[in-house]
Amino acid sequence: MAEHPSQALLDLRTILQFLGIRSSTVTEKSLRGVTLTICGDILHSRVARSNALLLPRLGARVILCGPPELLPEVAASIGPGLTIERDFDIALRQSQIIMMLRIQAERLVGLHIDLDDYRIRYQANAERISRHPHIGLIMHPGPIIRGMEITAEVADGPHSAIARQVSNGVPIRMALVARALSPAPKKGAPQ
Amino acid sequence: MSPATTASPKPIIIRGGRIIDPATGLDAPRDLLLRDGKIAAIESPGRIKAPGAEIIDAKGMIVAPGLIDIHIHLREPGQGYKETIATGTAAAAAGGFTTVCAMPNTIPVNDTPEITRWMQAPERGAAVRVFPIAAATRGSLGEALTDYAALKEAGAVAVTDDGKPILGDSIMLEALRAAAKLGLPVIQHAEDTRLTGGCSMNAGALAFRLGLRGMPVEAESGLVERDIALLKQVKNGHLHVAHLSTKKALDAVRDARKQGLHVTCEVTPHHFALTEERIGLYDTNAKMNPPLRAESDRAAMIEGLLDGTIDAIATDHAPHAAHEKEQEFDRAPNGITGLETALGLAIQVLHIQHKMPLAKVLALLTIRPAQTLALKPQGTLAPGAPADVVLFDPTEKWTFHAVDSRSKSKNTPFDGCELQGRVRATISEGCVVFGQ
Repeated sequence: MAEHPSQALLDLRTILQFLGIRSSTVTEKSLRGVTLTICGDILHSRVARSNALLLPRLGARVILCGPPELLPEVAASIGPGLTIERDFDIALRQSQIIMMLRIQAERLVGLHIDLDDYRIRYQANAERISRHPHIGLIMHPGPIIRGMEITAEVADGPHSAIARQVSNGVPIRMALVARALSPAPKKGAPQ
Repeated sequence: MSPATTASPKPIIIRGGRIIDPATGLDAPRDLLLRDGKIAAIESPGRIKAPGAEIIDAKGMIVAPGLIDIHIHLREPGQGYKETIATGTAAAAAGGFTTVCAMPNTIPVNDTPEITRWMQAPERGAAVRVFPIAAATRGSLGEALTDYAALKEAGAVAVTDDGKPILGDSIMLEALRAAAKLGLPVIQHAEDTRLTGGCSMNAGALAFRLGLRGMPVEAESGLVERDIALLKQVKNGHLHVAHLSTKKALDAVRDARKQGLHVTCEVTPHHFALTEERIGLYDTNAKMNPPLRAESDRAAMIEGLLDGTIDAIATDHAPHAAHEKEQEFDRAPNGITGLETALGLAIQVLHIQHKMPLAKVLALLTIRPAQTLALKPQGTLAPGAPADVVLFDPTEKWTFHAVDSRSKSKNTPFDGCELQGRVRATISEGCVVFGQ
């Protein structure tokens, strides 16, 4: 699988902190009622696949958003709780959390994207975000292309979780390393 | 051209076997006498007397015409680290093949009579007969035709730009016309490469999950349909579709046949035995072009083999060195070896799972490929035909281990695979070139 599980786990930790949910109390219903939009180059994103598989397992609804070149219809078939919405503003209207992705230009090989058109349709900028005041958390796994998928104003703005995501990467990866180096848990023990 | 032998071998009597020769419809206990590189006699058990002949006991065995593979890559000239004509044909012999057709994507490309002759020279040490297939255009660049008459004269049995499909309408039409005048087939690797840039597997949900670019089935079927449309404009033209892999392309071939067009096609063992799921977690030994497809396409290949639309089983044996396959999936080269597993897979999948009579399975590996590329007099055990014979035990179960392969390369998805039907001896023009 093209996945990035440690990123999805640190993203989950960031989301739980935002919602005020303690990690130890997480159940498959914890994110019920939460809608999150992942927007951008989903075709080439391991981050998008891992989050799209993880978050619905905790009850979240995940909207995948982007142009057909970067978001094929089959994307919604990889797991439950996923929908595709081509119109970013319609997706934003339903979302409390958004996750922006950069266009991975190094992987486009032969795909042609009109970047001016892309900015108009899919950029997270202050003017667009201000029209959706219910959006409380703006995420991005980095690296960011400022001025492309997200403006500096939004990336550094009050709803940005980007720095928090980076710092959450440290304890999550420490935990993963500790777990990998620990003896296997006994059968029947909580995972 | 002929197997690496010096003196004329001793006569051989193959005694006590069940002879299946799909070309003549024979399926009965018979003894076979091989002399001077030819089938000398085929008689009821015990009737052949030939003093001084070597006797091969074929009790419990099927004795059939040596198998014919019309699509393999021998990598010589130019890429001897992957395979040589000697090692590739040794693998062919181990798989029961006595005739192989070598694709022209060598380095340099086989686009001249000189290279075509070089490949057939005794110095190459071929264990079995090699028929070169020459490039259809110079350098396989799709721009200017090669000299078909001279290539045919030098021994080429068909023309193709395999791996670099001929996309231009006018050059493909020219190729079909020039080949038709000489009675040569034009073989097309049907892939519209304008639709497959950066692709490394079949398009679909699995490709998305794996994060790989997928080739749509239309990239294959679209070019087959285009080629068929061009063939309609050519008198006596013959189009042969290499390694067909999709239902849509097979349907196009079936329709063209109904219209009376001379369109033939082949399918590989991996396309009737495996689906894209075999890629698992990026196993580059399951990467080839055309890619492994969905189950519905695999089922269509079986149907096409059963109903006769598919003319031949061909392996597309494509050896690559371990260091080339051991890299990221989308960077690894396309292709797998296949000569030593073809018969076992055909028996396992077609005969055992799908109840295809053995004579029909063998026809797809002998007389039908011979007819497809007009390789007379190969493909039969009729007296006077070349003494090309395979002996195999149809009931023996065995495990294929890539490490034991005679090929220089070990890139196969069938390593460790249990197969039924094991080659016991292969005889090429009267010489035992493989025996176990």
